[in-house]
Amino acid sequence: MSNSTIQPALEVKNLTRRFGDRTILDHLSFKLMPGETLVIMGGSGCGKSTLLRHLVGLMQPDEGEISILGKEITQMNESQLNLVRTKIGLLFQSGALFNSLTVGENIAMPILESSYVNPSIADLVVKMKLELVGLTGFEHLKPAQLSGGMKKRVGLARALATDPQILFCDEPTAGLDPVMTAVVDTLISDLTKKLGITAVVVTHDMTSAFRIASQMIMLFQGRIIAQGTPDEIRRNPDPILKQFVNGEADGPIPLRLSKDDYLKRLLQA
Amino acid sequence: MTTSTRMEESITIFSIQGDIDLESSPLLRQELKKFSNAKTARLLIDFTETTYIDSSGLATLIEYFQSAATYQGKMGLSGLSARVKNSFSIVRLEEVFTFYPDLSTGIQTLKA
Repeated sequence: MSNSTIQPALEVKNLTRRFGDRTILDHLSFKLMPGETLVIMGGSGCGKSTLLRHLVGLMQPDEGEISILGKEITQMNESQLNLVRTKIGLLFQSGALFNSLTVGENIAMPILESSYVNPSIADLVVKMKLELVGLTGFEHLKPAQLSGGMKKRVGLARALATDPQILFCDEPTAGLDPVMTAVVDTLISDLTKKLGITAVVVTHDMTSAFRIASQMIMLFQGRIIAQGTPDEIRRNPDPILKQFVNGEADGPIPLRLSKDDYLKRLLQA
Repeated sequence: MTTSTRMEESITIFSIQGDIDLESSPLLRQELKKFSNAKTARLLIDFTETTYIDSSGLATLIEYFQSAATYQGKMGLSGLSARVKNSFSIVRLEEVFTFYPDLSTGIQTLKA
């Protein structure tokens, strides 16, 4: 089958969001085919997490369209969105676990909520998902008994609990050691390559980004300044992109206000 | 998902057509319970027309496997597409179940 006849897993057209007079997302357009992994890069505060929240229908854009698995979501009501959400998995930056529930109960929750699956089946699914993220045997612990990295992995297990067709991850490897980072990267690659899942990953970690991505986007001040395959991104001469990818302190990315702006703000009444 | 059962050379063949997912796996569980209640001696599950299996489907098969082990029931899986087989391997289940490339190999092996 040619690519033109396959429906994109995710398609974004002219997505724009403003907060007051600040444009956080500025006419963003991109699409992602099933089985691909899109890595969204950009400095802190560039709009990455805001973009992710729009993609899963947690925020409404001022302009533009978002289609998930062929369905335009920006005009959907909450019950229509919930139907779409059964096909997606979401890993929040913090893991976002329920502290009063055990690890196993956290992971089982989306399975038991969205189906008539028996709890004994859900328990077996929990065991398989914990194995995927390297936490076999941890189902009876509470989140408070886990490190930050473990909570992140439990969050990933929960995001995968219902076998989503699209997985959205906000900083999946932040706070993980290099070995566990590689485990999570391999897992994301396996899910996309072997099972055909589509992944959208926001990350600062350039090693991870180039390891897992089939497509990459660099956001800067709410705009896409570079877009392409990892090879195209490596070859892209854009100085802002190069500074970010190489992790250099000196370059065009403004880290501080100009001296004049700083003094003006400091001294204004 | 639809299913059908037939006997061939004293082997019970259970064929699954379509997607095994959160919606259909409770029905699969119900069907497999019939085999464990009957203590089916040799069950060959035919995946030739199975297009997808999710984790709840895998868990349902594990539950049957555990149950069959209590009465020494034999169980095999045949005709899995590469994608369906990957769903087993990604959670390291290749060593739990016995896989046959096609139905006739499964029948011949389980019969022996």
